[in-house]
Amino acid sequence: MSFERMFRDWPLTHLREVKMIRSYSVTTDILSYKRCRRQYGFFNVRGYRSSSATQRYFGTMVHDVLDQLYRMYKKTKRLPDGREVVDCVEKAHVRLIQSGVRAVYTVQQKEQIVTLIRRFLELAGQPFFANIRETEYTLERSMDGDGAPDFVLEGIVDVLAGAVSHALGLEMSRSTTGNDVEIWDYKSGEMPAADSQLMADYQYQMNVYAELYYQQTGIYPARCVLMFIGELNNDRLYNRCRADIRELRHILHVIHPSDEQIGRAMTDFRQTVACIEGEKQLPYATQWQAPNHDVDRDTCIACELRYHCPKFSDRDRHRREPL
Amino acid sequence: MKPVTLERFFAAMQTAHNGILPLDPQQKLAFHHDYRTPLWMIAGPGTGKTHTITWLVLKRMLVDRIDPSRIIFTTFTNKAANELQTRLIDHYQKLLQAGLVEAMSIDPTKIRLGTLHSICTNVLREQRYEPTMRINLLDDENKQKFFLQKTYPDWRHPNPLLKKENAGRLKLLLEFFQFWWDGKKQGFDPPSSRKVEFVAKLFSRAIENHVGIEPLRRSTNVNLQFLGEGLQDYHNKLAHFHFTDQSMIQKHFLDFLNSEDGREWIGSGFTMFVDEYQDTNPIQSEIYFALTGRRGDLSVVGDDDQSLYRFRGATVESLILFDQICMAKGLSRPQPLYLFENRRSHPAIVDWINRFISTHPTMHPIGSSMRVRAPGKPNIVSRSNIRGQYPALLALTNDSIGTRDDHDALKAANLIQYLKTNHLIEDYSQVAILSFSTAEDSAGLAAYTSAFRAAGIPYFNPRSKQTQEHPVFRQLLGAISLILQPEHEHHVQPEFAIRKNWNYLVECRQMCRTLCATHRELAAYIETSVEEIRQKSTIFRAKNSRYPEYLTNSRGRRVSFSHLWFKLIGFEPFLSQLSDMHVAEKLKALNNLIVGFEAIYDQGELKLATAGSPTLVDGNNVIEFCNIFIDALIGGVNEPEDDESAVRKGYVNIMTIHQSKGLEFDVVFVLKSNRTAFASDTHGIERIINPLRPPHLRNPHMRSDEERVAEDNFRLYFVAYSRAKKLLCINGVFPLAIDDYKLRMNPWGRVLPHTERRAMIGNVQELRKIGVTIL
Ligand code: SF4
Repeated sequence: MSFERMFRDWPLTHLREVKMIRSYSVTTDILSYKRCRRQYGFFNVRGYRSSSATQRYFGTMVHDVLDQLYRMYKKTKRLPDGREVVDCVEKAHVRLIQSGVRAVYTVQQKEQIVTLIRRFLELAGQPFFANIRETEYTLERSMDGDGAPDFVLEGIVDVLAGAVSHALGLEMSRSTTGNDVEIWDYKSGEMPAADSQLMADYQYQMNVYAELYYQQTGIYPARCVLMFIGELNNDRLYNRCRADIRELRHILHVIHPSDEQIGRAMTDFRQTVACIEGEKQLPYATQWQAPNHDVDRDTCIACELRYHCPKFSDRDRHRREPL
Repeated sequence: MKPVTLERFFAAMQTAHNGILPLDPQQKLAFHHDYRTPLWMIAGPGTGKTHTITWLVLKRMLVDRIDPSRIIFTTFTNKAANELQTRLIDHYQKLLQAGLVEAMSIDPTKIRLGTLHSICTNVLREQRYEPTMRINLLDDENKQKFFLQKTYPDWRHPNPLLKKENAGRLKLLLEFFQFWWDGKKQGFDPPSSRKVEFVAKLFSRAIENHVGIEPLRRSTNVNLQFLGEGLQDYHNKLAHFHFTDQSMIQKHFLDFLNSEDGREWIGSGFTMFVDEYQDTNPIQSEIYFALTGRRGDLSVVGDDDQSLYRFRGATVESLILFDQICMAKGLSRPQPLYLFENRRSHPAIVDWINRFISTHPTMHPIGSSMRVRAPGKPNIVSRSNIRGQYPALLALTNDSIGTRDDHDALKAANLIQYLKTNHLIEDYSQVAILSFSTAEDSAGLAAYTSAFRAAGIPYFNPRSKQTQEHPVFRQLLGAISLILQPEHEHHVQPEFAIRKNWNYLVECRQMCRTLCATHRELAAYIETSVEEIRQKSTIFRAKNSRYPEYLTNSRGRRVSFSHLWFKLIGFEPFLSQLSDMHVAEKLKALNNLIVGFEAIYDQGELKLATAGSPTLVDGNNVIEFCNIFIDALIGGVNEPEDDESAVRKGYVNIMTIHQSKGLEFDVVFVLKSNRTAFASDTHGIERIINPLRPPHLRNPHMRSDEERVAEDNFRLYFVAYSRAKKLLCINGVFPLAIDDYKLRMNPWGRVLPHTERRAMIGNVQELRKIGVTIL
């Protein structure tokens, strides 16, 4: 029987487009894409992997130790003493090294972390820990793509807290109350320059978290606070502050959510999601080109794609160097 | 928020679906279920399982007022989890658009949705469960093998099961291993890689089946004592190196759930939805019951006829005996619910799959109360819009004795070409070729791919296990090998290398050398890198150090295998290949494998050998690369899977039947339906493990290996046949003789009721009589 006769009665149907609602995280997707779409495309979308992309030892240690100390506080309702801080740092170190994180000068780094954490506890420990509601708090919300594909927005905030600023007596451009809800984020380094890209990224991140929190609960947090623990490394400033955190101007950076800033961040977020989704529709060979904007040199130097990346001016030299 | 009434919920569903409630009567029953008793939903293929369960989850939040953060919804793969998330949010948005304002107060993203593995990992991390904090996960079988082998060369402390002198004991423990070994020539010494493969499976199955180490060690059976020793050693080493594997992470999770902190976290229990329950293993089933807080709010959905993962420890009895297990757990008798209205396939295809699964004695043991299928299961009923008097069921076979693959393949290619040219299909991806294996040298698949190439039909076969043979993959590997071991060291290799690995590498090196003749920049890089190692080695050897030293480049950075991969892809011709998706996926497979290997082997960082060593680079690097890394490669490498889409547009998709689970295609070709299946290590291990499970998890009526193999084969082809929407094309040969064994293996004979089996279908005419059209 000919195919014509055989399939005379074949039911015609149309191919359906498969809808896909993807999750996008502020840090691992949006900020990474904005930093460099090529790097983002290769590692986060296409799935190339790099062993050297290990977590930063220092930053991870600071996060892990603060987290553990808070858990101890929750159980015992007292601040950990110096010995307990040292033990906690040691345990966190062993775990990190076992998990494959590579670090140099760890003895010095551990000592430094112990100092920073002890100083932090002295300056803010009690009011801070007593007001924590959740650590590593996940915020997630499905969002209308506004013409572009819908998506799920996700983020993890280091600390969701009650009125820490009020308890610390911090002076703010907006007054604090005992009922405030705050988002706190630990940064292990020093405060970057106010006009730096890094600071702009941090603020962006906080504005998106504020909106996410609003979407989830119906209220905005009173403020988002970036805490630059690395500032406590400065002995002179630390000694001068006489155990009063208010004297250390650079340890905290406060962001009061404003409609305008949040609106701008969210528009940008949506546009970035649309760009990423659009990029996936391009022919394979033209996807994830090097960006047109400048990319921070340190980012390129740490990037394994630099040996062939048209954006990296030293690519030929770096590539031809032995090994 | 006030609860939404069920009537209002249905009304909103109906508005969202152009005025028609998208539920058939059985699906609707699920919405009236009393959740104090478990729900046992048995859903045949194409009966709207995912559709029902996602709406049901929304109903539970809106009507029953369950807090979304107290709902756990698990499924089998990341891909399926992505699909569930999309559907859930999409349905949710539809309810909002339909005016159900109460929906605004719930947030479906708060549901814990994912594979059980991802949920275990996330909860353990969130809860800071001490034993798993910052633990390294061996998240695939290769990594688990790398880990077992890592401890293997340390012959002071190898795992007892892998000790050379214990190979004989391993033989006694693992019949299948014995069978495999005995098939070899006299004096054959099993390579470590093969032993590791068996042992890795044995350990995983033991953990998944909740086999305690102590009972094993106390056993009077010396083989089981031996297994206990090995398992203990494996546990110790995982703990020592702070690693865990895919099975062990579930054990950690169960331990956490049974701890004080875990019980506090569970509180009054979660509302549980478990998809694909037929592929659950005993430890997972324990986890689900624990998560409910011993309440009955557990809804399981699955199809026992589609259980395919015995080889990964799944026990179909979890679903088939769900009522008995619930009652053993102190819960009330679950409510069975059968979804049987199929909206996927042409009636002729539905008829075929019903006959296939519902009559044969393998699936319906005569005179036995043993359950092989879920009790009371009805046949599937066709409710599809796909109708028409065309032959929806085709046989790709002929009367000639033996297989004529090229002949069949040509017919298949012609048909596909016809369907596409005449716009009966819009895209090649509406056609799938399904086979039990997609290695091109098996199931006659090579005949099909070559017929497709000749006809200009694009095809996509990512799981061909042939990636390691791609020339670009081999050239790049050859380049790494040439840097690691320059030419003059060649002679040292065979002394310690596994010969087949070395032979493969020698070819790769040659392929790279040939490439270098036309790509001078690449050649220069390899030469200067070798020279750099030589110079660094001379300086280092002069120090007479007793310990190897890290090899660094001129920027002071340690050199690793993956670093070399990134450097090399910067050179032509590799660089251009990155823009070609097909080749790039192969290069990515190599990249992913290297990084997986490095996670176990000191980040893959290379060291300089001490004075007196025959190699410039440390011997351990060289041995591990050749004997462990290459060993894993030549076992067959697939392209990495895409977590978002299982089907590649623009191509005829060739996939294993396992991969096709959950998918549907307009046109499906099933190859070699008369496949003869044999008992494997899977069945042997299951037999060893069953009596060692805790009593309530034992299968009291375990059938023989042969019977379980036959069951598995039925389920495999049931899944394959039920993927087809418009056209099912079955390829198979006629048996040479009429005997019981051949009857079992004959795809045509299988569809006949037992009494009719005597009337054997031995030729195409007889096949036509039962309504099958011959292609
Ligand atoms: S080298 Fe720089 S520009 Fe190029 S991909 Fe890497 S980060 Fe982006």
